[in-house]
Amino acid sequence: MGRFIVRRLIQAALSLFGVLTIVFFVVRLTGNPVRLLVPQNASAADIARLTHQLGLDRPLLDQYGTFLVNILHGNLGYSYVQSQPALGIVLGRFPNTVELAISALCFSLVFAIPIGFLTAYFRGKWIERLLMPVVALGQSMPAFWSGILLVLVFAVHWRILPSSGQGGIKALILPSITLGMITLASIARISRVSFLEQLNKDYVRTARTKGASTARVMVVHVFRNALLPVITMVGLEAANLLGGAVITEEIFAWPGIGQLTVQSVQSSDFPVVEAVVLVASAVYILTNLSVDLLYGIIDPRVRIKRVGSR
Amino acid sequence: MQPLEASTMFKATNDLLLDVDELSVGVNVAGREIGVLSNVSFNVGKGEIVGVVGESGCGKSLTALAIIGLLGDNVRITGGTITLDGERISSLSSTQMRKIRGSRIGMIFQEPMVALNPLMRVGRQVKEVLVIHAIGNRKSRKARVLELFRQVGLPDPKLRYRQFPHQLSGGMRQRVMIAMALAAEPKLLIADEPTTALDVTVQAQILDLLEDIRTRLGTSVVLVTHDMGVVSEVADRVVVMYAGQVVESAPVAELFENARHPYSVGLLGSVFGSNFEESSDELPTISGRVPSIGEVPSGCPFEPRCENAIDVCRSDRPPAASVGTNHIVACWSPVELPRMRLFGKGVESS
Ligand SMILES: Nc1ncnc2c1ncn2[C@@H]1O[C@H](COP(=O)(O)OP(=O)(O)O)[C@@H](O)[C@H]1O
Ligand SMILES: [Mg+2]
Repeated sequence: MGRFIVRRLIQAALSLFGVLTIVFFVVRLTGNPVRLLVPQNASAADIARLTHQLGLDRPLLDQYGTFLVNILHGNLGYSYVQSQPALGIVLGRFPNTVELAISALCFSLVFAIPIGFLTAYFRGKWIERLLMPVVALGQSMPAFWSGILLVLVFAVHWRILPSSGQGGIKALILPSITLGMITLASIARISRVSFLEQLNKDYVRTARTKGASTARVMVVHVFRNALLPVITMVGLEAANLLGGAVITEEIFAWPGIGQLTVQSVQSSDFPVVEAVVLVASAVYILTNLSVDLLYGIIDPRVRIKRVGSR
Repeated sequence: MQPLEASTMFKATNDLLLDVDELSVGVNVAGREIGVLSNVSFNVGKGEIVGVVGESGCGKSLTALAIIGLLGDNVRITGGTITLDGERISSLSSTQMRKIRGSRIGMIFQEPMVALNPLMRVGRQVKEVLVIHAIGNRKSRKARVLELFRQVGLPDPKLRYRQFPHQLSGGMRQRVMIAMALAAEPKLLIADEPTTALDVTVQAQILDLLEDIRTRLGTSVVLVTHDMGVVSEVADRVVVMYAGQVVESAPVAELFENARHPYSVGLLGSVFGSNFEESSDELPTISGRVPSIGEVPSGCPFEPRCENAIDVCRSDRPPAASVGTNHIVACWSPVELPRMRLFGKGVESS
């Protein structure tokens, strides 16, 4: 197990290195950011001075070398716009993204797993016919549409929830629903398929021959088995959500790293873009690693295999 | 041959444990109900091992599942009764039936590899039977499971108790299944192809175990198998099924010496050779295949494959008739004795 984790961490470091390299060169393809940083009437000399100050006049590979050395020291440079450390800016916004992601994930799980279970257990019955279209609807509504719809209904028409900003549970509700809707639909689908598959397994029949009630069969036997594939899906969704929700954060003016991404790309704030990508990737990789470890805890078969072979 | 009254032999005595009487089962396929078992009758005495044999698809598993009340959503009993220890269990509510499963009837299956919950320690899976039926208390249950593990010949019970199914071999898993089925000391054990998925030496051990259980605990066993060889090892009596019907039933020695139904003769021939000697190089097989559901002919179901068939076989279903002590056969044109001469008529050499 320990060796497995070490290997995965080395892999993670390599992935991060690759991601940072790509992002470093891609942002520099967008042109000189200095033009966006100086006032409109700035002279060519001003621009040249600032360009030199930011080191953007040096050869690209030279810049890249410095970039790598700085990263090894945990330094991603200063924001061009806010003259604060880029990583600090991102980490300052990150808790907001975490708050929204967790809340959206909880919202979706609370509905998705029961929906998956009910539509599997009552397949062919009215419950399934009622819930499946709802799931399809949730999956096909893009956030920019469902978000604005929710704002219109709950913030503009009924005025019971704030339309934007952060602070308190109330402000969290609409963005969580908007963001969680699509996650909800995909997790509901996966759990439905998973429950359906487990219900036909031989061990379910064995449990029935013991005299187990349907409730016991479900809770004690089927549920844990059915959750295994769901956990993988939830992990991927969680990793996505933690990377920042660009559209939802924009709609609700939520100060997370999704919004920061848009702002920093728009203003060509290279160090912040790089820091956002670094943090989002690291979180993505770590989330998936924790899911794998969790899987190993729940499924004894995985535990053995890992120790033996990988 | 005398025509037969509905059910037979043990009925009058106290030695009868299970009585399946004229059981018919229908499967709902796309809104239409198709009969898959028709008028299946047999019984099992206390402490008796009854083998239910037939090729795959003959309705053996459905018969077993009907007894324990676990027919699927689209399958239901359309006629007949099942009586366990004097109680008519075929008409019980699902809640009442649940109380019987595990406590008065235990069941094991063909695939011990997948019959256990992969995420639960096997000790707990066996203990669950005791929990469900509220037998014993927290402490005594574990002791009981360990004792069961010893009884079914699981080496190192304490270690096994904590292991997961994937850590056990196929044979050990089947022993766990048997321990589970016996946990509440049911009087009836249904074993559906319990040895089919196991290799030969393990097969023999499991069959020995079933026999041992019968001897020591007096448990009756319904042993479902497609293999006449398995039946010959342990069964006291044999029920031969074909296309959802019982075609012949007899004590095992009687069947092996005087099988009358051409299908039984064919099954025996395919295991033991025409002369019942296992040494013969090429075993004869019965040509053709079991009819699928919905294609069972209106006459004798075996008629299309039967070389003894006569005109009446095509038009009318043969009634069950007694042809000896405890020996019943449903055939218009049974194999005459002595069998040796006639062997091969109802059976085609491959
Ligand atoms: N749930 C079901 N739905 C439809 N057909 C079924 C079902 N269960 C069994 N059958 C059919 O009933 C017949 C008998 O099946 P089964 O009892 O499993 O045979 P056996 O155990 O003798 O191999 C087969 O033709 C099988 O396809
Ligand atoms: Mg079967």
